[in-house]
Amino acid sequence: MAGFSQGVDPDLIRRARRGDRAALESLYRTYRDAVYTLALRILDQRGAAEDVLQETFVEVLQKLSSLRDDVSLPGWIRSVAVNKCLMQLRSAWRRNGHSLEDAFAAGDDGLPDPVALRFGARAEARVDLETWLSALPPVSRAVLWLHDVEGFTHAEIGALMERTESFSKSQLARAHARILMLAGAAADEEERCTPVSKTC
Amino acid sequence: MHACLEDLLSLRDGDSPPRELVEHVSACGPCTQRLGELCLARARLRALPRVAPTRDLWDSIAPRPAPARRGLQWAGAGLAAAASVALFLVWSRLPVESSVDVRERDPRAAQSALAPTRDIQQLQAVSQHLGRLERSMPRRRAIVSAREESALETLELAIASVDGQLAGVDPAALDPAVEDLWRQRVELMDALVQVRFAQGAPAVR
Repeated sequence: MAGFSQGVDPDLIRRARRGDRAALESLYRTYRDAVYTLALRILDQRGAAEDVLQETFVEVLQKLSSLRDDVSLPGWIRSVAVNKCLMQLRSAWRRNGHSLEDAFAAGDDGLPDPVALRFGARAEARVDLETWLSALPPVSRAVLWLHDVEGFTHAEIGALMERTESFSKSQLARAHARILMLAGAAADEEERCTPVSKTC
Repeated sequence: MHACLEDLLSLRDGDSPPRELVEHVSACGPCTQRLGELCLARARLRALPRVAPTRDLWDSIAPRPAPARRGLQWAGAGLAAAASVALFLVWSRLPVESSVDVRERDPRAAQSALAPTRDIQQLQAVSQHLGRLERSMPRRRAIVSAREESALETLELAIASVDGQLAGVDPAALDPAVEDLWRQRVELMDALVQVRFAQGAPAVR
């Protein structure tokens, strides 16, 4: 998990609950990068990730006093952040005149042409996992990150997205199929571009 | 027949796969290779570096004490902002309509109708009014979204840019370029007032 496994001193949480500004700031700084990374990987937009970071901590700080179990703090922060990400995902699709249902149904919609991506990437001399992650449809990317990195189960992802467990499984398979395809295309290209020795 | 990706993923994730699937994959080179690729992809995803935001958002997140007489302040600012926007809208719509009307009545008058119809002093007065209003508004509420902050920065930079251009022209000049700068300033100030007003309004979810 990208930083959410880090626990905090119970005394710090107690002080934060009482509204101690320094303790609140310390909590924010402890989980800031974890929340931002999660949001950036899922949403692939820095501005939207900053919004998620901000909204997450505003909610966390407001509701901290209602948290009963200190140990669950990192998981709670993560679940608040995930919900904010999914809200962003929904609103982004709505802003573009689509519903999230369209995104689910469209599957590969919005994907760049793999050939164009391959040659574009070669021109930039940089093909890596982050590039492939960016090339995924938003819903597949979210499922991939939540499952493979954050450790959410398919049942949990299905519930978060108001869909089924099998929906999550198929989105994960779709994401991996795309990554494997892009990785294969990049490998082919690299092989083709490797200088061949002229001497035997 | 090779195993499909969903089956390989369930095998990778340890989701009690059927025995036939396990037997097939362990005996099949391409499936074993694909399973290895899926494991590698997950490992590489988990190894991606953590990313820090490019700017510190703590100031916009930190809880603030509620200011005294906040309700009264907001009521006044709200009314003033509404009045300002109404004033601006009335002012900005009229010339467009009259230009069209004039053109429809007499095409030969189109050229003169398209020329600036409001003098610079009027634009300056509206701009000053908006400036006073904007300065009287509270700077931020407890929660300011990153996008709002970015919008404010953009507007303030654009206003500074227009002010820089206006500083370089003769204050008495009445040419259309100067009028256009003042018009831009009024539009930007109006947008700034609206953003500040939105900051003061309760967040809508």
